Amino acid sequence: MVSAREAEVMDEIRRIAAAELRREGRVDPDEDLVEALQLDSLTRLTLVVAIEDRFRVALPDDELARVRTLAELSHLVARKEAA
Amino acid sequence: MPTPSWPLAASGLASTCVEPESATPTIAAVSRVLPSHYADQETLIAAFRALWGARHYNVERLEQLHRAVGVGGRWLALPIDEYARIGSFAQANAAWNRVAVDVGAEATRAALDRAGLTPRDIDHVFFVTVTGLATPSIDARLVNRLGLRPDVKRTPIFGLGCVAGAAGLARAADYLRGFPHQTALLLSVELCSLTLQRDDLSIANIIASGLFGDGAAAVILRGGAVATGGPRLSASRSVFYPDTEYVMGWDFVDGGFKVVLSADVPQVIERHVGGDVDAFLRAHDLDRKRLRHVVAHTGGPKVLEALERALSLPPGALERSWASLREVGNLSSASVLFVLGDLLDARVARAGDVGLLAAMGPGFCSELVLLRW
Repeated sequence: MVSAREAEVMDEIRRIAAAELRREGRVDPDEDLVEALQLDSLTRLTLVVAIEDRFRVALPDDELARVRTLAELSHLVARKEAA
Repeated sequence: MPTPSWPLAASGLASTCVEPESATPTIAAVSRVLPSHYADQETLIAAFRALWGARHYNVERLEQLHRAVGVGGRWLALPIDEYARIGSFAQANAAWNRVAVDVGAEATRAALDRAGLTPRDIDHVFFVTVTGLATPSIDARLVNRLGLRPDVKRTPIFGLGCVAGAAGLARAADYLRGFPHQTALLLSVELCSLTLQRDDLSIANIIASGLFGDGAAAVILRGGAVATGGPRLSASRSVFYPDTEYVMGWDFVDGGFKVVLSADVPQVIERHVGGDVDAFLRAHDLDRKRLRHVVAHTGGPKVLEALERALSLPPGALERSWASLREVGNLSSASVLFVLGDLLDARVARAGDVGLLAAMGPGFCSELVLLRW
């Protein structure tokens, strides 16, 4: 179940991806982010820094390494916000 | 009776034919000058940490990005402590003018010395930069500073960015094809450190602040009728990529130059450059296997990796570009000329060798230059 905050975070991540990476098109919650956003190491880091600055959270690399989908990333961000 | 192979009237054919050696401009000398204030990457990281630490939520990312660009240090136009005192574009650009004339004069003198020429031998100055503004332009100030002839022709070129080293060579060579008895100077001065927007927290600015350095390069080119050796600039090709204006450039803000640098730059290069190079070489009856030397703009690790993949280059083919990136950072338009200078100083090229010099820049676009020894 996706919390209301996670849904908001998800929308904001979509907005950041569109603004920072100019990726058009809606990413579905369960889509693989690397595929959906055509991420390489540089674009991935770009997205991570933008998310950290926007939500004022630090996303540890070991936890990020386990993230595959937009839903998982939103869950991680929301969890760090609440911590 | 032999058929003359050059010039051909039909432009489609003319672009594929080989002009006689006597008409082809050559590179007589290349000089490279770095400003005197060196800071290693760790010193710079510490300075940026102090500047941005409180505003980036996870400052470790800044260090991660600054270490990932593969730069060991930069030579700066000013002592590092002086940057904090720059409070406006007017102050940054005034410093740029002062230092640009100094390093530009030093690079020009060094290139002339290497070529065994004097300032009065220069018929045309092509000056390229994208990091500062001046009118009269820096080339005009060098006429006075160095004693160039009053009838010297000047073409200051602003805005081509990183591609301007390669494009400057190509345009100077175009000119010398029309005036084969003349000598041209290509001067590139880039003081990227003076464009830094300290309140810009974008990822593009983090990467740029880790990657770009300061430097100047000068090239003496001679028309085919007065050439005395050096590689020939046998052909060039400009390639423009439609609808990629967003990839790289400047936004102009009250503080001056705010960097636009998309994470897509390597992808654009990888998508296009292989085919562009093949088409260019094919037009001159060559293919990649004939290339003995590749002089590539040191855009950054991702750009160099993209070029290596796009051109299927063997390991080590871009070693001089990688080394230059490590040692001085990305010097925008001057970078490809630094790598060219390194290649010429190594004296590894032999008669008959073919080389490709390539750079990319805002547009987005590429400039490809064919070198023959």
